[in-house]
Amino acid sequence: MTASQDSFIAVTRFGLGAKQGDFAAVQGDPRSWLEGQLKPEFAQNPALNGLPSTMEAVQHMREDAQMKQQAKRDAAATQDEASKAMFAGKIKDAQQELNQDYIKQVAALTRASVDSPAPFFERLVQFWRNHFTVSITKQQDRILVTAFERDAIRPNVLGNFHEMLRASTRHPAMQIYLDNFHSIGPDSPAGMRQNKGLNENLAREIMELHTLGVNGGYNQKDVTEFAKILTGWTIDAQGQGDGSGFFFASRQHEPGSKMLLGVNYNENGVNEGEEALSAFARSPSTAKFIATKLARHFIADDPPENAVAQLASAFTQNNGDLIPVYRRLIALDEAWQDPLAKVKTPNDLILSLLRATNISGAIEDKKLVGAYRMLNQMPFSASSPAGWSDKASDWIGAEALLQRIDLARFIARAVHTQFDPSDLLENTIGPVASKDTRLAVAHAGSAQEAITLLFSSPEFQRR
Amino acid sequence: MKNLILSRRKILQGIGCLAAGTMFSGIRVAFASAPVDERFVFIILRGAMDGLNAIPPYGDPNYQSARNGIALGSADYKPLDNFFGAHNNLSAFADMFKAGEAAAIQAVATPYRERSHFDAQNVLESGGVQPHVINDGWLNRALTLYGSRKDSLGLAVGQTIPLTLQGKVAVGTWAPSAQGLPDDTMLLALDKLYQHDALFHTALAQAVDIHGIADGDLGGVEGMKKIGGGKNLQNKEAMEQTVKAVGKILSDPKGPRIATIEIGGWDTHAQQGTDKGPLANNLAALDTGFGALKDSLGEHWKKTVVLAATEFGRTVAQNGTSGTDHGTASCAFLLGGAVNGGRVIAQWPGLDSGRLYQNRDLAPTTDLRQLAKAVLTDHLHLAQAEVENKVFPDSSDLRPIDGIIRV
Repeated sequence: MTASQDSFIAVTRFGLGAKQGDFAAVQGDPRSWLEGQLKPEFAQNPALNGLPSTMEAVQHMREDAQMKQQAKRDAAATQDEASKAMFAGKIKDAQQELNQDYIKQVAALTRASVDSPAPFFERLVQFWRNHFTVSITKQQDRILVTAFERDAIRPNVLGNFHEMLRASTRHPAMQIYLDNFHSIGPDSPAGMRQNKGLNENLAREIMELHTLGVNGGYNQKDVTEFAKILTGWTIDAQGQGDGSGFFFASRQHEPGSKMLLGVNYNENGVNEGEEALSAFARSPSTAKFIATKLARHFIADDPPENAVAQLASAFTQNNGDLIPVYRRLIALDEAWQDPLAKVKTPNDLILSLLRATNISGAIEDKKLVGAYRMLNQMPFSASSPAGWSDKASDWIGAEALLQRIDLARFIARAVHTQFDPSDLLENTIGPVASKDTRLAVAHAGSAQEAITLLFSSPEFQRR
Repeated sequence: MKNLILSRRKILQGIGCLAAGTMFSGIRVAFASAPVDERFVFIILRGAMDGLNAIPPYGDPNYQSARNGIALGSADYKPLDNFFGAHNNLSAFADMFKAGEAAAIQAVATPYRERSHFDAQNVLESGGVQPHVINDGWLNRALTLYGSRKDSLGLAVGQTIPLTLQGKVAVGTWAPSAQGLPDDTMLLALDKLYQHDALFHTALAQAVDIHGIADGDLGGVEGMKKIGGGKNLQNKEAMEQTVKAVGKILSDPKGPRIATIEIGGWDTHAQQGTDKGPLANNLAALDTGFGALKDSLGEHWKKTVVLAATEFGRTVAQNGTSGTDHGTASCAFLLGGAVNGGRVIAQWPGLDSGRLYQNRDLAPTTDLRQLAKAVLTDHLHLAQAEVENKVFPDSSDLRPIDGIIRV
């Protein structure tokens, strides 16, 4: 194993791909370079200051809903076709504005990651935001998803898993995405009055996807009981809460004791849910589930058992504190073997292209975000609460590969006058570049073609 | 390595023919003499479709009461027989049903009995009895049973390959894309660049094959923009345009024979609606796909079977948010000129509360593998013993449904 291969792994697998000069900076001690990024100051990425806070987003959501309701009422109240069209146009304009805001915010997050001096920290943010998936497939979440990353994920990435789980579960974006905000205890005052009831979506996915894992030892009865426990956990739509966006509506809470995973929870309002989340966070099933996902993300699609066991024990020994888990990960030999074991997801690929070429400041928001759309991985739009896949077989098919090559061509067209292709090769994949790739880049008919091939090469497409 | 070399040769053959301007016919030399002339399309309905409102059992005395709040009214469906109906938005399906070339199967499920989407889809696609026990897909294992030319028989519609088509046999993917293939110089360079990376090389070779058949029919860049690159098949227009091209690819005498299409958006936990709403919209998109497949397959429709199935059904009763939660049995659709249809196949378990699975879900009475096995044996002419040996292990006690394919 050479030092330069370790640099490549540190920068590409743990980080978000090489910027010019990264290999030289890391060369001395790649592991220390990674450990140096596990500092709370990196959570305060100044590029994110412009993003709305959760309370601002909730306020915006409320105003948006009120405006649209009013416009609908106004439209219904008038017979005049031109007025009706005017009100419909108002709704459409508001929707367009939301879409533009969302694009602006995703572009800001992208630039924050690309420009960050702590790309390993940024990768961890993206790992966790995918673990706790929220999605704009729920229309109202379009306003809330970036606030979710800002307020629920980032501040907790270097903290304790239990805190991140709490922040995610309480966040309005999650409450909306998995339908819990309007889940109502059938025997609660609100349930009796409105004849409404449970929605078990969030309860199930917290156990299956956020904590215990599907084989974590729960059954349908547990899901239903946990759904009862979570009734009343909702959005602070009226500004009555503590400023976090969360509100416990006791009128919606199912009264009585609940039996979850063999433990009796006496009626205790919001504390029942708090206790349940705490129990999930402490479960060995959760440790194993999180360890498996981390090992899959940082080592191989089929993660080695030893690595999973090591990470799980670090998680358990430190009661879910995450920094010691990341330290154990950095110390694992398995993470420093096969430098090309993982295929970059589209998100990885886009960020690494932007880092390699330093052009994210020069691309307008819409085009920047268009790259995600082109490769089928728009941030915050995973098609299921399991989030994006972390396996090559789900990302590389004929069509997906053509899109990747096309993106490479697009970027090469934009930058080919600024870079010498062989310098760019050394600065991005130098330590692992194969003979095939070196030949292809050297023999290409033009700089643009050479850079297209470099960015399409297996070494650039993998991590 | 064999696949790699084969694919590589295909690309190089194609490039060798460039001078004559017959690139694709050159590549497709390898497509000659398909071992099967029948077509099969597997549509995966991701998210758990509410089969009780797609094919409502309106004749069940408990249908209205058990589904209070979300049951279809009598104006919201067309009767298929004196017990089951089809949601109004399944009009193309209902027409095919009347013409005897479509069937619905009710109260059907995979062997999976928990309620995780992801595990259930794993069972639906892998063909195992438990999730995550088999690492490849049942449809890919079916392809392994064809001796010759099997590498060009399968096609996944979309950017990537769903589990059901993943496995030993190489399959193509196709989705409408504005760009098409890179130019020929670039293709040749990429072919070399990927020669020691089997994953990337196979994907490239597949792209060359399929685009040779499909491109040029979708109105170029403008056409693609209009249908959003075919990524969202819940959109009726995108579904229609995409599926028309799929029909064309499957009609090509040297093209693939077996395809998968995926459509999501069935997870209707809230406000699922009856005659209108998210479920109704999704059914309309699916039905558009059914119609477009029939139209675009033309004369090949008579040799075609389409199976549309979901990972599990939804609760019989509505939940607290005017939707339904994860359930067990659902319905599946079987259509095509080769289907002996015009009937709803069901050992109906009933909807009174004593008959429900775990007191909440439609109880499964048919195993989806019985349907899939009938398609593989009666339609695709694979030997039942081989299907039970290689495709659906632990299924020998499950009889393929009799007489569902025209002979």
